[in-house]
Amino acid sequence: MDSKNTEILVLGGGLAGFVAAKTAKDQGKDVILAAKSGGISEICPGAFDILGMVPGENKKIVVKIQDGIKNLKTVKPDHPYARSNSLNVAIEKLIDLAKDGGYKVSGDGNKNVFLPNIYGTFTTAAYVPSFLNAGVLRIEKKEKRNVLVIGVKGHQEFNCAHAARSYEYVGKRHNISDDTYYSVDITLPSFKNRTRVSSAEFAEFVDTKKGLMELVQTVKENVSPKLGLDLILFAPVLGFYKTDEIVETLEKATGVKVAEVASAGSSVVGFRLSRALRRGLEAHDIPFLYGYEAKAIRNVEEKVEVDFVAGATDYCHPGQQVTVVADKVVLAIGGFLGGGLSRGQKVVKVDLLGLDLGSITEADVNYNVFDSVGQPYLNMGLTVNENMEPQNIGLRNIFACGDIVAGFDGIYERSSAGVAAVTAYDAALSASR
Amino acid sequence: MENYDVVVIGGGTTGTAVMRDLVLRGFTKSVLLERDDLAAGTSGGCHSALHGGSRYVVSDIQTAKECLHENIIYKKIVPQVVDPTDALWVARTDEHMEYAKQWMHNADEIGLPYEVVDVKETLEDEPLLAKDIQFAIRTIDTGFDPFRLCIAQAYDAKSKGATIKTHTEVIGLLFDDEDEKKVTGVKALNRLTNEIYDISCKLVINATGAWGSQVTEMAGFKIPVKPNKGTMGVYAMRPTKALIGILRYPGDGDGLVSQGYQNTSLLGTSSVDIEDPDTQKPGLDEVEIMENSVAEIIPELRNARFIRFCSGVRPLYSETSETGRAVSRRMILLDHEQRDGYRGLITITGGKYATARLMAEETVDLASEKLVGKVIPCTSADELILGAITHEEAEELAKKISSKYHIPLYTAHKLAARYGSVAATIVQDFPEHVAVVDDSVQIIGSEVLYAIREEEVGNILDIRRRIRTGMGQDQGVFSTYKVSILAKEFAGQSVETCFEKTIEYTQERWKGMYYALQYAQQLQTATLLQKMNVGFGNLDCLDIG
Repeated sequence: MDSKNTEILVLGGGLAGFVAAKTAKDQGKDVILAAKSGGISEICPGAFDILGMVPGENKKIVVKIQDGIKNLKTVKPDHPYARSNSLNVAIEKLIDLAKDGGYKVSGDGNKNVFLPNIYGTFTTAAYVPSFLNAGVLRIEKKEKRNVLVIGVKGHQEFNCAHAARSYEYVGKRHNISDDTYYSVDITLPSFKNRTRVSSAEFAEFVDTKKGLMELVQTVKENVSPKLGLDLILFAPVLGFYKTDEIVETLEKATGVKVAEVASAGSSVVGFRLSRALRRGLEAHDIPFLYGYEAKAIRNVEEKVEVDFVAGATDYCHPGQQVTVVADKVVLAIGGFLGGGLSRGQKVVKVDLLGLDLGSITEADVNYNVFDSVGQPYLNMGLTVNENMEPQNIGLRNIFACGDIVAGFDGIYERSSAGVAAVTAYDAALSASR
Repeated sequence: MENYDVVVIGGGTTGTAVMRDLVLRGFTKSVLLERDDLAAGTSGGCHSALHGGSRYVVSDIQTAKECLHENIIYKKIVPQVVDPTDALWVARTDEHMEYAKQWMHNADEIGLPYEVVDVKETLEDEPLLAKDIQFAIRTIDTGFDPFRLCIAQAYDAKSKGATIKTHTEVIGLLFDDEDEKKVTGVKALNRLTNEIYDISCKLVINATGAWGSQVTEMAGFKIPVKPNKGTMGVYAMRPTKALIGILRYPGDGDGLVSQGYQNTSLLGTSSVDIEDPDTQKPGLDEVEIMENSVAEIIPELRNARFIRFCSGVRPLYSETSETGRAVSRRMILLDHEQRDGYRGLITITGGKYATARLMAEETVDLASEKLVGKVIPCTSADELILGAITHEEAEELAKKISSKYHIPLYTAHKLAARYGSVAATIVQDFPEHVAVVDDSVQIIGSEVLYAIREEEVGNILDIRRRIRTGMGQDQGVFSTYKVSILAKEFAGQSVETCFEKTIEYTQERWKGMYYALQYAQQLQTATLLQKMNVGFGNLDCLDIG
């Protein structure tokens, strides 16, 4: 039985976990981050959302974020944004950590921008990574660009012909884009006999020298100067590791700006962010125990002990058992997606704490799938006090942040990254006192 | 005015079986009118057990005989919709053991094939069964795909000359000018275009099941059809390979069934009398009772995740005041000329999915007499239904398709198993779209396009019944938009229509999950659906404030 000691133990590998770990470290504490996985961040589009919508009868997309937050506070006075003043500094922590890991993100935090996505609609975001940057649409600064949307034969996740027509239609109808969109499906010679190639396989291929050469060659053959292109939008498969290089090479070869379209559920794009956050931690000497699943938590006198099972497990491999002893523990274990909130028989639980949050009734779910007020159950989680300590859990020296916390709906508000950052920052500050 | 010999109202298994039989006997000038889509009613909400008689052999031996007879026929004429397994009926308690004795006695009487199997071996083969099972019988019941069976019957008829009109509602009957009790046709409403028009015919066959009285009331009289609801829960896995049942008098929650080559299973059934077949919804109390019941033979059942709940309405028929399970599931053929003085109208109702072919046979016997004065012999038990091939032939076809079109063998196996020989046409006609678009159910793009071209689809819900898109564990989270885009490109629809249909189908999937969310197990999938569509995709709203 392995055992470790630290001052602050953060549980959870999503945005909240990383921000909490960095914040605690910046306060001069010994920190360990431990996580089963990166949760939903491992399949996210890679941009950061602060606030995209205020759920309600006449919901509309928020463009001016501060105005949106003011509005949100009146509708949801217990929202994490209403209970904290640290949003800006928390977001900076997240952005800096990602940057230290090689992931560049830009935006001014005050206006949402629009990103063409794989569905043919537009995703809203406050901060945008480098590989999406050239594709950004700003409401108040609409241009009339000529855009070529490129899909790759075999890649079933993105239909470029549909996307081009859709961006044009949706863009005009909702006053988001004045661009003209063309589309072309290219065939990479190495995959010409394949009917289906996953995003991961394409990404892995173009990360290689041979793959990149083939990609550039094929794209050049399909980009006609006659079109007078201002922008190329590409399927989100431009590498796991070398995305910036690949984009730059394509821009040089074609003389046109290049960006990916925003993905949804892509492990390729999610990997880029998760990896960068891990490398950011490394750059600051914060140990990260990846693949460690917290199974039990208890107070031993004033300290907190957490038992983990580490490594891949199955019937024949029970995994390694490790216990970490910490002064304080910060829970960033996620909600329904990340796994912090688990589903039992008719009851929502927080397994790690042995806590029963009650059952879901008709009042918690709306029959209309995309209800204007959202799905109430998404607000479920741990109730925390002003120090980010969960109430009534029978444990001391525990703090909580991110999706596990109650009182916000990161999906309908399009606020996941912002809430993750601000709650993590506040929780880590409290834990560090 | 459109003119046919026969109008069949109702696109469930009864109506489509009647169409098939009519056409086989030469009555090709027939049209099927269905107000929604094939199998959108009761036939799409059934427990999907292709009964071999086991369930009824003690309680209703006549029905058991019919089921036995029909089970063997279905497996011969339409193997592609039948799950390639059999059934295990088990006894745990002394009460079950008593019932088992009666079961075997009756089974011997009617010639129902069964084998008493070694309990230890059975438990090794099906490790999730309760360890204290005393006794087990292996027999011929199995599961089947209730959508595809209806659809296969309908398109079998169409391929031989009949007309199938879905999204066409009968809103009135037409009567002879001279004789107000002679039905001469129907008034039809095309629900996609809102056009109303008349169809004339010699005979109207009312095969609307639980809605039967709504049709006869257009002539001015009621029939005592009692709508009775059954709720089902769909699990995200198959706890047992075989269809599983409890050896006891039929009640709520008798067992688990899988719908033909699927990796999900259905918990069923319950029986609740209701007033209106159009406003029913799944009953969570019923689900609890059923799960408790089956958990007696599969103790860890509650750990299996419910993906969704759904329900269907049975047409029970009773001239007395009996209700619920006490009312016979027998088929009822009503000659309204004899019974009510109305010529040109007959009703077929009651019955079970598993005996629909037989119901159709009796119906068309009567129809034949009325149309040509004699009974033309029925061949529906011998003729193969469109695409039928044996399992061995399907495996051969799968290998060929896999190697020629570069698709995984597993995908080709499912394709050939479910469509039979039609699988070859699907990939030949749409070779550029043979990639998988729904991973949970292993559907290829070509199937979507074939359904649109051949099988009268108005929206993705209709496509779903034909190819099962979105019916797997992910409930369409990763596949609905792909299917929708493919459909739009092929059918030349607008972007707006494409999004409308995507949202419409997502709503339909949500409707089933909505109830399952109160069981809490489906919360993760439901949240993923919201995250992808709303959080990442903004599919809910793009209006800027």
